[in-house]
Amino acid sequence: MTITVSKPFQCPIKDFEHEDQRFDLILRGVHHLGCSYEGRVFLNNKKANEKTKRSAKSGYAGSYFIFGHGDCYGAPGHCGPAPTRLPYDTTPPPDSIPIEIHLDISEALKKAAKKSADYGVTITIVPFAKGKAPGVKANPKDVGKIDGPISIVGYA
Amino acid sequence: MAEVLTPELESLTGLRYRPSVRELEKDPEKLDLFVDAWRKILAKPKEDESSFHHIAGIHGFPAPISCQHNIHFFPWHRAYLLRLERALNKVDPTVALPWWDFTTDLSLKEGLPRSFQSVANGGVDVLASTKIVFDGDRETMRELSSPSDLPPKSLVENAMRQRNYRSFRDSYYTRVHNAMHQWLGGDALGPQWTAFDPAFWIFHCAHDRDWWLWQLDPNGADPPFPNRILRGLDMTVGDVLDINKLGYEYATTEIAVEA
Ligand SMILES: [Cu+2]
Repeated sequence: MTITVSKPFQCPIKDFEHEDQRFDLILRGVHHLGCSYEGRVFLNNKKANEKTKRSAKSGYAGSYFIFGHGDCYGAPGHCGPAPTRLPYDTTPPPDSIPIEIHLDISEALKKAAKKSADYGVTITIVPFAKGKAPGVKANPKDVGKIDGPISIVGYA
Repeated sequence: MAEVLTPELESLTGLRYRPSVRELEKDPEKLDLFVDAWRKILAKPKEDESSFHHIAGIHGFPAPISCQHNIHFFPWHRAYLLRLERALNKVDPTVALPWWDFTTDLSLKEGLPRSFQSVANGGVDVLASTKIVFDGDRETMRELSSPSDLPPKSLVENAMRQRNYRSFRDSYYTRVHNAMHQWLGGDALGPQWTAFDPAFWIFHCAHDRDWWLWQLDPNGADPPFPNRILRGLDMTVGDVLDINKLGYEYATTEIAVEA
């Protein structure tokens, strides 16, 4: 189980003082070959963990969901790293490559930035997995693995 | 005054009409027919291609995992639902797969529709769980979250607003579909055994309905690679784009309004 804690960054909130501005959290290289989980995003709460309540008080900003493949059961190499794709290859990419997640965290981010000095914010991503079923094998090491980069995209 | 006609589309068009589970539950006779058909395909030997076990096994175990959750998530599952519905129709041509609207106030209060809940909560035994014959005759299990944790309607609406297939699929898949598997927990957490849980079929049927409603929008575009084979299902992406060609429909009535 990997909890990701970001370094503090400056949210350019002061440049966006109107209501309908939007901020998306973009996670690239999110692994999904392990077991399924909910990725809970907390702001300015470095100690957030599985037990942290999802509330405004705890800095909860939203969740994304991964439907994991639950280990590889295919032929050898089936889930291995994708071979290099040629630029003109128009076939769909293989299922196993890490994916990209977009999550609108506008409300929570605006609140967190306004509350802290210099509009500084940290992001903590806590994977929350259930997984008691005997038939759903999962490798907890893969849960919550994000290769990155992680970024915030703001729409003024 | 405009004259309002409400013909039954089913008898008019010959299409199989897929009801919502709640609607099915309001008509005990119809629900019984559905449950009877379900029992019959459950009782068929797993070697029979129209048995519940054979079909549930296509998604994950024991076959090589065939389900597609990539760009062809929607077409693959449409063909897959159809496979089960056709098996049901082999034993009773009048039944259809029902869909569960998990975004209603009632769902947010009570969770799963009554008939699919645990037997202790008044559910029907064969809709509450499945004894998986491939896995030591164990019952499927769930780890339900609270009903209020079901994905909110706004997430479905957000997906429906997307203007191209790729962003519709991405938005719906990661925010709604994946959240449903997580909400159910237990065997629903992986592709291996999830299709053995009867609840799999009713929320996936709702996804199929949402995709159809999205397709009806004149701006809704088709998925790419129409000639691709849907793994394990002997159909292509292009084969499943029009549900009427597949013999079913979600709309019940068409009202002619004279001007
Ligand atoms: Cu699914």
